[in-house]
Amino acid sequence: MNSSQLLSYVVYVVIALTAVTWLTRTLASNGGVFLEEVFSDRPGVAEAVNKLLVVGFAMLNVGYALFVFEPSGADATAAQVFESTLTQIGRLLLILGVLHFINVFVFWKIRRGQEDRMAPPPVPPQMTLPKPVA
Amino acid sequence: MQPDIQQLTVLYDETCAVCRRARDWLAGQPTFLPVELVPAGSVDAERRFGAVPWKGSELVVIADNGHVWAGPGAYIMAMWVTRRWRPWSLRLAGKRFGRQAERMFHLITANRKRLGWLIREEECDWCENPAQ
Repeated sequence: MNSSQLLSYVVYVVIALTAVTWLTRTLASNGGVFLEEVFSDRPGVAEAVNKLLVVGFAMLNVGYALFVFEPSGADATAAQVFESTLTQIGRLLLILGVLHFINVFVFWKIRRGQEDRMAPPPVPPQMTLPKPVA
Repeated sequence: MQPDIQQLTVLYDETCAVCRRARDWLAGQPTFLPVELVPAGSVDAERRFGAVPWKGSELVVIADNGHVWAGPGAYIMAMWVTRRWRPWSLRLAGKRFGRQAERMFHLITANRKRLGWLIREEECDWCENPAQ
């Protein structure tokens, strides 16, 4: 292990953790607003669901970031080490972006489901019976 | 949920095979509200909904708050009550598809006795008025 390798690993880990932290915070604060609306009739549920989603998201991302990292060989030059590290950071950010969009999509689906549940009859009735019927 | 509607009653034409098949389909769908399926020509329908003029000639949906939908509106309401097809009921009731959907539902109602060939006909051993 030479010093450029060590440095590039540190850079990778710092960037990966920063990206995940940032994404997770963004998701938590903005997703919370969505969920508050979806679960407006059940206080506390929005916060709980938000926390669970965020924990899962963070675990998935950190796990993935550490899992896909491939150290370069011991005889790699400094240039090769930086190149491979840059490539891996790029790939990680791409995957995180995709995961983030999937998450936003899930929030959107939850919200859509709620909207359907609350939708009033889309067409007006033709007549109204004088007294309610069972 | 809807505060004013707790249940829907559907009056279908028990003398037509396609209608009976549609009833079976609706009975098997997960719905937002309880749905009661009543043959339009039954004594029960006459006793409870005698004031509704379209019984048997159009599909009729009656909410427990007294609202009555007939014809295309009733098709829309039958879709609206299902969990799976509610998004489509909203779409088909909208500006974009409204006219076409209405025409299609009218066509289905007008030709319902002739649509039997689309499905395999089964013996109607349960209905009060056997198929004519």
